[in-house]
Order: sequence, then structure tokens, then C-alpha cells
Amino acid sequence: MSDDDKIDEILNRWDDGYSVDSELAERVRAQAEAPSPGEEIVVWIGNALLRPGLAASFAAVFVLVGMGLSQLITGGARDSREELTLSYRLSIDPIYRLQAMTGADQFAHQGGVATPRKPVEASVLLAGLGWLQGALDLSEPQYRKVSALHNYYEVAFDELFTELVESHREFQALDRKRMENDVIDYFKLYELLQNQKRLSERSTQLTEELLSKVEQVIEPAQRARYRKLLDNIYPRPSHMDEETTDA
Amino acid sequence: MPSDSANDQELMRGLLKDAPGSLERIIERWQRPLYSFIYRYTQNEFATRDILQETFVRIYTKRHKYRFSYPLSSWVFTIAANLCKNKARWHQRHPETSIECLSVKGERRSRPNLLEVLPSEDDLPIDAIERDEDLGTLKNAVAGLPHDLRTAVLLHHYQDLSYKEISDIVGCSTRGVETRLYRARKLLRTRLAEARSLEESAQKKTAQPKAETVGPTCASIAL
Repeated sequence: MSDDDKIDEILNRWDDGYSVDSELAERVRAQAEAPSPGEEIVVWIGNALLRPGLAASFAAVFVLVGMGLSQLITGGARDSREELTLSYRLSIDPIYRLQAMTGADQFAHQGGVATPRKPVEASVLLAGLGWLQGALDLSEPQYRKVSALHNYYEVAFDELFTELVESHREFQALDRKRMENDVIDYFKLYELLQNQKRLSERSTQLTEELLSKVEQVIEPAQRARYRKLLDNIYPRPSHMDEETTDA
Repeated sequence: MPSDSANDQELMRGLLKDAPGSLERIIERWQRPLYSFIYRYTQNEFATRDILQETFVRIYTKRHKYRFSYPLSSWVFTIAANLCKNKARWHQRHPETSIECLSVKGERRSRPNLLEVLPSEDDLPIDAIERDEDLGTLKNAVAGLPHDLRTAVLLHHYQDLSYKEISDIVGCSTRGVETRLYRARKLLRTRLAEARSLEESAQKKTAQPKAETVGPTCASIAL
């Protein structure tokens, strides 16, 4: 008898002691249809609140516990969520990227902690896309399509961002000149403002294009969640219009 | 267990439509094979009953996620195997001592005691003990296999699933299943051989003192 046969022979002797569980279906149905623990707690609290004394105690406990927890939880959760939404918005909105950069510049000029300026790298887009995948529960093919779209637009966003930075520097130079000489070059100022308006419109248009294309590759339920997320992190006039149809 | 995919698909269609008795029919069809797999994976009856129930709850609650392009066997065993894996992880993090594994003095034992050895009518008692020791060693060896090897060997030997079905469950290619089965059997052979050599060396050690004690007594008798 070979070793394999010997193993097979021993495995064949391994009895599982099976006996039919006639009540299994009943238990499975009961467990499957039972409310989740969260729902049970809500029902229990609802019943308890019908009694005034208990309700007052609950209110006091909730207030105290809530105050403590809000300090502990919301800080960390909000920080990480905001960081991710910031990453995503930075990757789809050159104007916002410029605001973030100039804000950081101003902070550095004011004599605060001089943080080295980090270039906007692919990691920002990756972090934002990773957050989006989790938030929308994107499948692998959907994630690939959404990533491809973002990568495609990333080039245009980067070029636009470079133009925005250049325009911003020119504006700063003009402002310095005004401060030093007390002279305003109105023609130059008009040109700069026109250019900034054009770049701003282009940025909005590109962002709108990307977002609408992303919406085309995701499911309706995901689309609704996506719009909700965008409304929270990046209020868009078009979405606000859609939601306020009663006007 | 021979697969009956047409019947399985019919059962799942019934479950999706919430047809009366459809859940009962699914349970009737899959209770035995799932129990067999889970029991040999966990080697604990209570855990088996628990995981078996949870498996059917998942089949019922996630029935809309079932894809008809896959055999039902792959789906139900994937659910069961994942639950077994989760349970095993939980036990690793929360180690506990089973009453069944303790001897009277409270010491752990790796082998069954003599009272648990039930010889068949054809065997001599010593044969039955040796056979049972082999089975005990093999059970321990199976319990010590990594998840994917254990799942592959149990599904292949007891459920008669195809390599394709096992590959869906374990999450690898059919070639990967072959490799896993080869590695699992190699590990089982090694463990059995180690246990036998340990047994033999223990027997030699116990035989030597006896010979030493018997020797002088015989000599004194001769004198």
C-alpha cells in the first residue's frame, strides 16, 4: 500500500458523526428575518423612552456620553475624511489646488511653520481615487474606468494649473509694483483679470466634463451617492439646480 | 458528492422567487455535504452547527448575489470555507481550552484514551488502537494545514468536487489546486511519519528499562 493509499484509507475512516438537524431551516429563517442588533437597540430604546423617568435618565446619559465621544471620535474621523476629500478635490479642481497652494504660501510668508511645498503628485490622485472606490463601492472594472478617466483629465488639469500659477505670479508681481511705486498698470490688470476669468471658466468646464463622464460609468445608485459626496465636498451649481427643482 | 447543477439552479431560482419550501429544499440538499466539510475543518461539533446555520443564513440573505454562471457547489462551499477561516482566526485571537481536550488530571493530551477506542469485531484491540492513533494523528495534521490546503484536501477527498469547482472556492487556478493537493498530502505524509517514528522511539525507551529490571530477577531465579 502506497503512502497516498494509506492516507486515503485513514481519511475514509474519519466519520463526521452527521445527524440530520430537522429544525435547521426554522432557525435559519428566524435568524435571517430577525432584526439586526442595531434595530433591536432602537426598538428597546423606543420602548424605554415611553417612561418619563427613564427618558430623562437616558437624555442625561446621552448628553454626557455624546460630549465625551464627540471629542474623541469626530476629531479623528473628520480629519481622515477631510484629508481624503481634500485629496480628491485637489485632483479634480485646479482652482482649488491653486487656492490651497497660495493659502499655504501666505501662511509661510506670515512667519508660521515653514512647510516645504510638496508638488502635487500622482499620490494625491491615487489617494482620492482610493477613497472614491471605498465610498462608492466601485467594482474592479468600474474602478479601472474611473481611474482611466481621471488619469486622462489629469494632464489637462496639470497644464491648466501651470497657467493658473503663472497668472497668479504675474498678479503678485503687479501687486508688488503697485505697493512699491504706488502706480497701477490698468491695462495689465485688465489683461490679467480676463486671463484669470478664462482659466477659471476652463477649469470649471473641465471638472464638469470629468464628473459627468464618471457618472456615466457608474450605476444609478452609485451616481446618487457620488453626487451627494460631491455636493458635500464640492458644491456644484448644476447639482444644486437639480435638487432645487421647486424654484 | 455528485453535482447536480440543473437541480441546484432550479433550487436557487425557487429561492429567489421565495417559493414555499425552497429554503427547506436547499437545506435538505446541502446540509449533509456542508456539515461534512465544516466538521472536518473545525473538528468541533458546536462550531460546525454554528457555521452550518450561518452558511445557510448567508445563502438565504445573499441569494440575489448568486451568479447562475457558477455552480452552486462553488458558492455554498466558498461561504462555508470563509466562515470556517473567520472562525479559525477568531479562535487564534481568543484561545480557549476545550473540556474534551483535557484529561482527568487537567493535562492536555494529544491522543484519545483507551475508553474512546472502539474496536470493530474483526480487529484485535491492539490493531484498533494503532488504527485509531493513525486517525488521530491525521486529524491533527489536517487541523494544522493552512486554510487553502485544508480546504482543497477536504473538498477533494470527501466532496468529490472537480478541480475547477475547488479552484473557485480556494481562489486559484486549477493548476494551483493540483499544487495545493500535492503539498497537503506531502505534509500529511510527513506528519504521519513523524508521529510513527516518535511512537517507535517511545516504545524503545519503555522497553529498555523493562529489560533491565527483568534481567536481574531472571538471574536471581537462575541462581
